[in-house]
Amino acid sequence: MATKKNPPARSEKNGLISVFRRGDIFTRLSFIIFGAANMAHKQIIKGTVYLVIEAAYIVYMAVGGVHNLIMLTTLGTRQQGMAFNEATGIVEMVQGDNSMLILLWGVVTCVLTFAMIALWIVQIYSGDLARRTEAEGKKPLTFVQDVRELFDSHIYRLLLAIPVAGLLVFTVMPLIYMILMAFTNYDQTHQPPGNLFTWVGLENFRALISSGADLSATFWPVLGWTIVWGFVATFSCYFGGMILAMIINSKGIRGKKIWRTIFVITMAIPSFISLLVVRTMLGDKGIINVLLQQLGFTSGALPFLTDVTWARCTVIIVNLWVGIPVTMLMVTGILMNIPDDLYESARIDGASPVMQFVKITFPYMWFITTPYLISNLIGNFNNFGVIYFLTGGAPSSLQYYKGAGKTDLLVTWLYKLTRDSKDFNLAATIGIVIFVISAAFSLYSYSRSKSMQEEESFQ
Amino acid sequence: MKKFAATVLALATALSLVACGGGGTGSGGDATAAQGGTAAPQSDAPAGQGAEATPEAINLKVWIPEEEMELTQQLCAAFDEAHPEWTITYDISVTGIDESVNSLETDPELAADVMQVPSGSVAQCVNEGLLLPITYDIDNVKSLYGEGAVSAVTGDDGYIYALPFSPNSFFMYYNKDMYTEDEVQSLETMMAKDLGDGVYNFSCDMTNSWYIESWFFAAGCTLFGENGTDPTQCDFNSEAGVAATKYIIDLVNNPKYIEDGDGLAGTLMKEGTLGAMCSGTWAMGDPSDPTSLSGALGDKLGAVPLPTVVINGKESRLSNFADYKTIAVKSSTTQPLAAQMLAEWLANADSQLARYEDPAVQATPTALSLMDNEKLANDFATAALLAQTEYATPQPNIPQIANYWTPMQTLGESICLRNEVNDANIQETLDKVVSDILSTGLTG
Repeated sequence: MATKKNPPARSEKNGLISVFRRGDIFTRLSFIIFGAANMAHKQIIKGTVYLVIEAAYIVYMAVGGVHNLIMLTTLGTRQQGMAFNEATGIVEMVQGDNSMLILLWGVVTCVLTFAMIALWIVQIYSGDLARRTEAEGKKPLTFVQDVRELFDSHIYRLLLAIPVAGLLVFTVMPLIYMILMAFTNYDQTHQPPGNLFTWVGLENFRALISSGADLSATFWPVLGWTIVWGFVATFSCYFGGMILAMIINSKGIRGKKIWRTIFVITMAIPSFISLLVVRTMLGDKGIINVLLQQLGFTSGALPFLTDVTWARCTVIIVNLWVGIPVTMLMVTGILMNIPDDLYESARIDGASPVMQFVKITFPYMWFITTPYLISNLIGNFNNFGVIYFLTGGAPSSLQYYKGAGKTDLLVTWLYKLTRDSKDFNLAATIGIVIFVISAAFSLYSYSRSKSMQEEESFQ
Repeated sequence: MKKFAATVLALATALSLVACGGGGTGSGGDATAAQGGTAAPQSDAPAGQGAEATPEAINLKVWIPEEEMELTQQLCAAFDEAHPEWTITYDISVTGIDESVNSLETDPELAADVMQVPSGSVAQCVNEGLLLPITYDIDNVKSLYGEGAVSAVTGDDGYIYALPFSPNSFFMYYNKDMYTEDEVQSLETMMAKDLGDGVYNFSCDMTNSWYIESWFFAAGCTLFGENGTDPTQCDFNSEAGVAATKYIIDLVNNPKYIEDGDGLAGTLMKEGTLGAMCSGTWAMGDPSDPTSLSGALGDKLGAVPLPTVVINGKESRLSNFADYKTIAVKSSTTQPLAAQMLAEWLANADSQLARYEDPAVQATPTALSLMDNEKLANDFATAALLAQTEYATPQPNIPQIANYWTPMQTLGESICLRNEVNDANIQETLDKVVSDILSTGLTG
């Protein structure tokens, strides 16, 4: 906006170097001393705030920050030990470095440093603006005016400051921390505070992906099942829900609202409760097996959750229970929105119900629900609840690394790695892999889907 | 962490005063604990010595299972009285023996100074540097317990890391109407007996790695070498191991055997459709409650050590892991001396007897001096448990044991649930189990 009032400034290059070149001595000074230019150009309070923040940062770096960064390179060297204390006559612990805390504070220091770099740039431009404003013979904004601006034309900055700060502290910082873990050997045998862990580069990724290793012999089959599960679970619920919605919606069905309510009731029960109940029902001594045997259909218990193929089919079928009502509800809304005249003209042309579905209903649905399907697919790749509560990943397999089972998805395996075997490095690595797969997949399919390409139109 | 704190404080002076104060008392506490330490041994002999010194105020945090709360409060108060050199402020809160290790790992700073841990987790905690070796007056403390109990809590550096106050193994319950005392000595005899239609002879939990190892140890296999200290040794895939596995396969496929799980065996025992099951004192329940095991069966319920089995033509007794409930001190405690003296106090013979006699706790003691206690000998479940500990195999105390549980559980599941193991692949399967147990993670 300032550029509109001030066209020549726009034509000038606006990089940091050009600012340095064209600025006066104070502008140049502000490259080292925060707020120097602001203070020189009558923005005393603003300049002081910048300076105080810089001073605080320097103090922080001197007191602990630099130490944190140096420690970050090795993640600690002194291992915790024991020493005999002559005064007390007992063996006491000698505290060593704690790699986990070193990593944590290293990340905090890095994020603070990046924030300082951002502030450094901001204050250089702010100082430059003050200089130019003064050069034009106007009065630079006072601090009070600046603050007032925040509630006026710059209100967006104020409003965004809180979510952005929250995001930085509660999402970005932990995220960096966990991503970094994937490049360490923070596993079962390197648990702080008794042990140190250190950087291992891409070793974890290599072990996970390369052939031959025990780990990759687990990773690839689990990934394969995750993808199969994702597609089958998504599309079975999608088509199941769609068919159910069409049946309920079709003319001549009485008590549509009652039917709909009945199916929606399943959503009212938290899905983990249904899953746990189903798990008990399907057990070897569960009600279903007992009933089947009492009625004489089978002689022994059916291995619903213990045989690999049975268990995989079971989770997919039970997932229908959880997934279909959701799709049904959504599809019902869309079905009601399809213009009736499309069907009318189709009927006049003599199209069969199947033809109407293939030519009208389904393309319309597909067009509208592609984004939903993609997000659902990603959701199913990471569908922790169904697998965890229904099978817990079982049946376990001796071919798999430490406790992973045949129905484990990458995300439930990740959970087992953190909770049961404390291989945090592997869990972090798998987390990154899941993210890459999900991100790549959604980007690809979103960009190719019709609803994105022809956002405005539906023929 | 302190450094960061210090910096933040540099910015906010008001806060810095508070935090520096906190840090100050922390380090001061260490120094004064040392003084208290010198006073402590003396105070045992001349009582006046301890009284002369001004008592030092210290805080101790204790985690205890819910049912022991009341008793622990009494024991702690008694400890405070016995040690005039300290005025102890206790923070006793409920954290069961099954949760304490997890909570300790999550945040050692916030964890209790003194807590209960299962002896099976001691090695893992020691490896993670979370436990303080108990060294105060240790020779006397050691003499309290039998060899098995001591070895279950000794780290591979020779230090004692926890004090075993109660054995925690399983043994065999049987229905006296179905078996005589002689018959329950041998699993073959038990399985051969016909108890009638719809009645199972024997039940065990083969899909649980706490139970299935009994057959391997009975066959003469070893886990991590003779002493359980060599992380590269496990001969479960030897000829004896194959024989043990075959025995297990035959057993679970015997229609007279029923696999335990979700309390199934207990239910069947109560119904009178099961002859014998493997479980521990926790299965007894309250004798006055007719829905509990001891209440339902009354005088018909018997308990004995696990029976013998004949594997490879050799008869030997099933040998499970000897596990103990222990009391441990966290390594980062600010009061190492007081904390371990309290741990020793809570685990001594008097406290063990109090714990046994408390109707809410009823924990079987380990102290050798209590073993000829009349009450103990008359309690058949306790007697069976104590007898079983004689036949038990010390659970290896090296960190590698963490790799044992999952492969063995998977083996049990392959045999019992999926019938996947047969003569053709038995060797291959066991080889894989052993290589998983001995695996050293990524590099291995």
